[in-house]
Amino acid sequence: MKNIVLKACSLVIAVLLTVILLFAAPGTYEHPLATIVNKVNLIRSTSPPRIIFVGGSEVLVGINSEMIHRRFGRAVVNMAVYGGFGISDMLHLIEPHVGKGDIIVIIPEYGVLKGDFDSDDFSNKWIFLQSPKYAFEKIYCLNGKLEFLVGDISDLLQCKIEGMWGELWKGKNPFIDGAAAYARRSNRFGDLMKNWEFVPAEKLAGRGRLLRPDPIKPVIIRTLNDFYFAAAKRDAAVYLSFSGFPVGEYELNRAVIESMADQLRKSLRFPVLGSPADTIFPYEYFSNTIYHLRFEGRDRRTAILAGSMEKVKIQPSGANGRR
Amino acid sequence: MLFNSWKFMVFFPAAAALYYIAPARFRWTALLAASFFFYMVFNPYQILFILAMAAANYGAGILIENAEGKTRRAYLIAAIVLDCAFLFVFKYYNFFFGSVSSVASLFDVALSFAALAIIVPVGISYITFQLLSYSIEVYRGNQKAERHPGIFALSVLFFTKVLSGPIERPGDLLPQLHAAPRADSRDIVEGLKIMAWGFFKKVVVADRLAIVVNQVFGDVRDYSGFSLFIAVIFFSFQLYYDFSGYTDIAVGSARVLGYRLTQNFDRPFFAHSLTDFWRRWHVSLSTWIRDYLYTPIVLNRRYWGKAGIVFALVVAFTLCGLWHGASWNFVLFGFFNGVGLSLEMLVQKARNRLNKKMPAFLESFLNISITFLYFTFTLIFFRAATAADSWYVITHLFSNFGQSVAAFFLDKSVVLKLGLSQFEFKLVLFLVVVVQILEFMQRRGTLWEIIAAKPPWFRWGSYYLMLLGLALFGVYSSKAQFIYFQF
Repeated sequence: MKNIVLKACSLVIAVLLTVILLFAAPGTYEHPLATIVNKVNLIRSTSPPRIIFVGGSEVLVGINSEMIHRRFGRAVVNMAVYGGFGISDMLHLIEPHVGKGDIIVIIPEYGVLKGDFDSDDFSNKWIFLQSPKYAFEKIYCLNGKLEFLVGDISDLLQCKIEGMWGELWKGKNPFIDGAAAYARRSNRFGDLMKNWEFVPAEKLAGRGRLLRPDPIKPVIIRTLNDFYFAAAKRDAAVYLSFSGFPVGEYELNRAVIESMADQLRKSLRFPVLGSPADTIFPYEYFSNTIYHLRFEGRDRRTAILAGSMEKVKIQPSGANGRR
Repeated sequence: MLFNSWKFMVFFPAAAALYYIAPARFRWTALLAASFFFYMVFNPYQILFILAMAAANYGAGILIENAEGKTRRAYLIAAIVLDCAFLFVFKYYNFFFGSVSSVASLFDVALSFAALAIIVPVGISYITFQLLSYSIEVYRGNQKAERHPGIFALSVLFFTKVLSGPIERPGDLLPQLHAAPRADSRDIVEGLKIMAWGFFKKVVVADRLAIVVNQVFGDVRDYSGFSLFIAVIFFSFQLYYDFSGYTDIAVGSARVLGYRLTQNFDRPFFAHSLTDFWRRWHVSLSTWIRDYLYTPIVLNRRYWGKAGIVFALVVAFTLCGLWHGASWNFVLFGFFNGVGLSLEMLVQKARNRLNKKMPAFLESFLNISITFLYFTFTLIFFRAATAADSWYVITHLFSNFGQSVAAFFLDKSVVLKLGLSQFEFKLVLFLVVVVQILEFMQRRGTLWEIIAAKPPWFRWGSYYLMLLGLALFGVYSSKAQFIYFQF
């Protein structure tokens, strides 16, 4: 009996070791949220002082970092990823990499500020991949989701096996960390270089839902301010800007958006760049969703954002416009 | 507490430890306590209904045994009526009166009935059939009435088989429960291997097939042609791996405790005819149907000749379909199986003549394919949400078939629309082929006997690959329950 138990334990340990090895080894993932791996690698490999953009897919496709880089002469890192990560988890992943002289521009979509988009069962695993200790404590244990952890690890490994297999099949290196399509679709700053197809305005109009009139949740304000204090300790500056929005949706939600902007200006301990009205554009500038700008809209929005940044005296080097 | 849950992963070792630590004469108590706990995790109150059913049958068994002649028969009828009444109230009341009211409305008669809002006790169909089998066997004199109420309760509630069978015959299970098997390392090892293989079939293969099946059958009108065809074929395999996976876990966990349960499956997708298929598929149910429905009806209608057999087959299998669930779709599933079996019986001689003219390989291939495809066709009724959905699937299965096949191989988005990536689709096909090859190999003995005959590196390599496959390719996010759990 003792012999059988010993053999069974050896077998289980061998399987566990294989799983740990596969989890720890670098490899390509076949999943859009694996972009977070590339983004963290990008911020790690870029020296401060930098301009770091944080947001969802609106920032991923809606900022021309090359333009910002040329205008301010600084390294730019677009840390935005597709929706799915909550703002608190995203800022947690960025915080350890913030360095002296960095300028962080947070551009949350309006739904994020309302608390409608947060990390979910779909994205938790990717946070675990990047920050296992944080995810284990704050997501799995605190939210009583521990029973999902094994399944999530298995999902991550499946994405990795699928990605590595795909790269091998194409004759490419399967051990490049991150999303399989990242290198093909992104520029050196982390912008998604895809000019989305044109969608007639009438198909987009009214696709955004009405924003709830209630104020921004205190927990979101607290998260943003906490991040600011942590960044300030590292001698970095934080700003908040507003996302690009179609004119029709803006008009529909004008009162709510303006009241959110007021609340942000009053509650945040760091500057807010411009106003929501600065970044409203015609429907023709948007593509498959009301948050995805096409190249034309992206460039116009980037120019407006750069102008706002200059107004608060963000300089090409050194002195940051910190309050 | 489903077998594929973490609760069971904690519960089972604890129950097994409790069982083996307990002195031999109290082992049944430990097992009964574990079974009570297992059942009560689902709903603590439903156990009262099951215990009431068990108590009634326990008493009926003794009464039947002690009585003679018409009284004996009356006790049997009372036990059968009581069991069926329990099942009817919990499972079929709403369906029956809903159907009656629908039929009445066709004749402009408005019938209203108060629908029962009750939760069906877990495993009630299996428990009812097991209890019916007990009373009938006692009546027939094949089984002594059980005098030990604890052992009898355990035979009903034994946690390894209470959810979805196998439907154990009293003659098989009760003597084992009395014997209280001793710890045997071979049984434990064998049981764990069977359980692991069951988990592999369920979590790795069936649950991945389920992604496609659920996607397509969730909105059948969004699909046609080859996509529907794939979903229908996939459902056959999903159902098989799901249920046989469950059965393996049930049989394996019982084996760890030293008990041997009925093997419910014997490579059914290699059956040469529908008759052969039903000897290999859900064996404990099909033999129950044969012994307690089909044979009595045939004997009763023997003077009808072949028509009596056809009648018995159609009635028995239609009821078998109804046993699965209170819906017309299940009735149609059973009915078409009865019709298929009847046709097979009627053209038996012609088929034999045709088979003799063909080479053995071609004969096997054709017979296996036809059997599989016919059963798969009947499963459309089993899986579709409504009879209208079944009809849609049947009528659109081959629409634009050539075009849809071409689109399937040329347009990646077609596979994505089925819910899987290209990689996952290839993976699931690979897994189905591998498992079917392993099934084919089992014509010479069980998988474990075949592996045991190989050198140690092969044996341990196989176990390692199975566990690694379970860890890496399992679908854990869907939290899918077993299909037969709903019955």
